[in-house]
Amino acid sequence: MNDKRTMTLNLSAIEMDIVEKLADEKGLSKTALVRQALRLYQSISDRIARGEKVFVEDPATKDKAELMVLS
Amino acid sequence: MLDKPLATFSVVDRETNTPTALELWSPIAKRHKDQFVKQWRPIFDRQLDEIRAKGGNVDEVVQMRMIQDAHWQWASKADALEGRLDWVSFALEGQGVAQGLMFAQTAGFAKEASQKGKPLVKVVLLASAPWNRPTLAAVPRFKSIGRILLGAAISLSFHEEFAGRVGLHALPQAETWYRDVCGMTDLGVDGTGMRYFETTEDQAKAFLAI
Repeated sequence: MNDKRTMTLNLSAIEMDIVEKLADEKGLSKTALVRQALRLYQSISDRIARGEKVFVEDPATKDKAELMVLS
Repeated sequence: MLDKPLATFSVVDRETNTPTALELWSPIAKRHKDQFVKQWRPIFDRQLDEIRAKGGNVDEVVQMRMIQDAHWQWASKADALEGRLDWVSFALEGQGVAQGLMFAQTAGFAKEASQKGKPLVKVVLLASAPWNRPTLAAVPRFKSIGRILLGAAISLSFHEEFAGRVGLHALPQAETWYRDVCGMTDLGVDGTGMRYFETTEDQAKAFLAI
């Protein structure tokens, strides 16, 4: 919906493989996948910057692991 | 901030029986936040004061009058989410006033079996102005506010390459509307204590085709 700008993204072969695999799994173009990844990264970074903790939970054991964002 | 609306819809003003242009804006503008504070909020506050004064089960009456969102701080929420890439806000404006407001998140994942794990748009809050609610106005001024805003969420989902996938938790009085009228899949009551609904691509296309 906003104005679009273009950038060149240089990735290693393995990074590109992962981008392609994830894009295929999620039904997204590579551009849409990177935009989605940026949203998630910003969301988690903002929460951690506010002092919140972000956890992932194992559905079976209910064990929680804290997500760390290296800045 | 866009300087023109995303779309315009013609909806009949049921008080005057005249077609009226409703404009869809994104994001919510300062004027929409001000209108919530000065025009929506006093009506909610009067309702809440009246309910509390009468005593009894406040939660039950709040639900009956469909004002569970009366406590929502649209203005401060919109301010807090400014600059966030994973939130999108919409206002449906008509006659110079916000007739409906919506917050949606674009970083969620689908739960329905055929699309589990794929990205979707999550409608976090969708509300029509109090004068458009059948529980608060003898003649609700505009119908279809919810339908237009849900359509906007589905269109956003297609725009983001999410294939029309939209998820939301429904208030109890809206469950049948989402299931039977909008054709969304009912995934039952989840950990939030609310019933969760989702559209698949086919359901989204069918909704937009109506």
